[in-house]
Amino acid sequence: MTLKELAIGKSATVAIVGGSGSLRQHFLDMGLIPGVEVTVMKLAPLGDPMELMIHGYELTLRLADAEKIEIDAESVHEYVNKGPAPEPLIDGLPLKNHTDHPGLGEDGRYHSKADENPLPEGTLLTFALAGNQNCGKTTLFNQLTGANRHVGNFPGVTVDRISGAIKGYPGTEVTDLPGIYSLSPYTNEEVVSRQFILNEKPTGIINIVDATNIERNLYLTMQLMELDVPMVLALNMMDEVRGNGGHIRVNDLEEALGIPVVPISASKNEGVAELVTHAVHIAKYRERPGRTDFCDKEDHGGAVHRCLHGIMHLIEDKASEAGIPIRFAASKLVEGDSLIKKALKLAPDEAGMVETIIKRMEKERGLDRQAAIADMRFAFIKKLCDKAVVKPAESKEHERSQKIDRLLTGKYTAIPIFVLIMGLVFYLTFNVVGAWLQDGLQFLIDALAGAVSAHFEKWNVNSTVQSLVIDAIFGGVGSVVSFVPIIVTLFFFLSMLEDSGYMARVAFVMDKLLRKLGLSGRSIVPMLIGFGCTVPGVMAARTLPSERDRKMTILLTPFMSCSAKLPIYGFFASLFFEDKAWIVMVSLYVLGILVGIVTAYLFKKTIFKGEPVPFVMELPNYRIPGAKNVLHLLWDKARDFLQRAFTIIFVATIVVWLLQTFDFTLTVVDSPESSILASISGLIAPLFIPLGLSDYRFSTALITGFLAKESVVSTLTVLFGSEASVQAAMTGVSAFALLVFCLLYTPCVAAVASVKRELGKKYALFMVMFQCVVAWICAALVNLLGSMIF
Amino acid sequence: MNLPTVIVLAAVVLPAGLAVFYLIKNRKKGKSCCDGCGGDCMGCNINNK
Repeated sequence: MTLKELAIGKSATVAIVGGSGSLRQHFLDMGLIPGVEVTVMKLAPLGDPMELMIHGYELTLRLADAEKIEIDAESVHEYVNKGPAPEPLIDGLPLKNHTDHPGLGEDGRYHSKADENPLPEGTLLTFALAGNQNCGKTTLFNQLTGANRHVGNFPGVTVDRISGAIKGYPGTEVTDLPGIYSLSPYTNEEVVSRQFILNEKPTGIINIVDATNIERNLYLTMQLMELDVPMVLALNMMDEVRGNGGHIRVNDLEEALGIPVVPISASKNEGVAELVTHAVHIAKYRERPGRTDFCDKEDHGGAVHRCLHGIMHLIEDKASEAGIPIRFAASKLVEGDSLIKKALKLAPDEAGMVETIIKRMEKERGLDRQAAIADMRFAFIKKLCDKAVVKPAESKEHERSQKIDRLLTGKYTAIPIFVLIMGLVFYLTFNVVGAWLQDGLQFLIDALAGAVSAHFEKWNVNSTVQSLVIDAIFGGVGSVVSFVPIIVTLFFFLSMLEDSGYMARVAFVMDKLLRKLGLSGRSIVPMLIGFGCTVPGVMAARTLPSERDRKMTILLTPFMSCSAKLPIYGFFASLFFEDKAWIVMVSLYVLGILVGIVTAYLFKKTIFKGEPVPFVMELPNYRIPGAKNVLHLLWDKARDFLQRAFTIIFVATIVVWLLQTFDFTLTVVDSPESSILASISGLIAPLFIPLGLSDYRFSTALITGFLAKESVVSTLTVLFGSEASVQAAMTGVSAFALLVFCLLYTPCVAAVASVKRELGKKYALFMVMFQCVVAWICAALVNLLGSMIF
Repeated sequence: MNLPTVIVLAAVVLPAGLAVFYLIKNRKKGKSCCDGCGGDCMGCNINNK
């Protein structure tokens, strides 16, 4: 019987984990090991993927992958929420009575002094901040460094490492690594994190662990400890554990692991100071973990233990030459890690001996190599948790999430609610909150421009210079700045959705639909971020584990209308469509999505043949978004937008004004038709005639839009001088054709640069050409059909 | 050209020059940043890796 056949609400024991390669390793790393109990919680509204409960947390898995996991048919039973495990007694007293823990001033009490060898004064102490996805790592990083990085309630918000000094410790540098589940090279993030620790050799590791999900989190801890680098463990979300009646005996954890363990609450900044003291101490005194060996001599005759230690002796010299910690090298070799195998450069006879040892272990243990290692780690964790952890009753957060999920991921409610939520976000942004704030700001800018203009008249300022300030700067930059409220409002809603944990559900709900297009459910997140800005959207695609999915997602993200295009839509919608403005806006967004879908289908059938990788993802509990985090994000977005307005858009506006005010003899022209700009743009203007945009000023504006999309509006304002002139130069149909072209044509230079970084020059060039062609065809069709209908 | 014109022109040219300098400086560092953040955003971090 396979896991796919297990009904909702039923539990069973995993018998065999099928599949192959890195995917199978990922299953095992996530805790899907033979012997573990797994429960099917629900199916996504479209019937696929399924949500499982394992080790007390929720995991998503496609039915096609669930089919690869065999369960013991006799073990199938109704799921019962057993509540917390019975509290173990120590010396006849419950665990809660043993709460003493080394605090400040007690450094060293639980520190390994075996090879203490302090670094010279003034040495830079570098730390790697490592942990599972969505365990509060970036929150802790912000607390440690005082940085304002964006934190999200979606696995994989940190897509690359970033560093900063710990507050109050100038001689330190902590690097926030992407969230990972294991040190197996399954995703790019895992490779980045592993390479950082192995190659850049930080003086210490701060391993952050989600205490509410300690079993799965400790799996990474054990692998990090195998790297034999000084390490401190931060038990995050301890407030949540205690609040739900749970308890963790920190002293026992420290003794068992041989590293300092500090309970913290990163979001409340509790215990962080103590954590820093311990981290600095272990790094300075080079106190490596007290143990790196977790195999049990007694377990199944010590099969895994003997195998690992045998291999360790065998490869000792090679591991030392390659600079890879020996225990880590041995366990990865057993798991079949090809990168480590290559780095060790084993001679054929050595590789043969290793293989023989592993085969022997597989026979004795009754499990294959990967499963045996995963089982060894989880067995150690289980013993440790039985002794030191009182699991809380079902947490309030989890209970609340379950209730919310009944509605938000319900079979009949999920998709209508998603459409409703996104519709509401756009309606509120473009028609209510954002629009109201924008009108206010535009009023202030106009009033200021009027006042400045009056003073210029009074002071008898040269009319050309007046035009430069009033038409170019106030008209151009001012019109772009007035869109700050819209952008901030849109980001406010998007960050609320992400922080709350809803985005992860969207990925879960949409997976089956996206899979039909050859994408994974996880692709929805980069694409949704793309509605804000294409650049972070492209980078967020790094969380996708497969190269194929990543490439496809990156090439499709620019079809999602980014917020920089909003000023263009807003400008034309208010001029030509008035009370139907929001319908035009929504139709543009929908069109972008539809073109993206068609393109995806086209790619799936041509350059990206094949199937998307499995959808194995954790569903985090819903959380109330932190006001500080949201405000930081809004401030960042507003600041970034204003920076663009006063740098690139400011300069572009002046250049456009200069080109349209002067001719080739640098004489002020009487009419723009004889300007330098008219001559240049006139060359490409014929291309836009089928779009109903014969005026050279439109092609000019579209060219400047390549620098920054907002420039389209500022250029048009400068070139036409007034809104009435724009209205006179085009019809409603050609205005919509222009909007469609703006929606679909090449993304801005920054986005193209980020695609070039991710995929190379060839793909970036392909994307620019492809999108320009698609945009031209769609806009020409709109103009043709529109002219026939209206 | 009268004095107010010169002052207004200077008030435009100077910040424009600074903006150009800022853009060139960031470009020289190899930054293709989306936001002209000066190098501390995630995009810059990746690009400068």
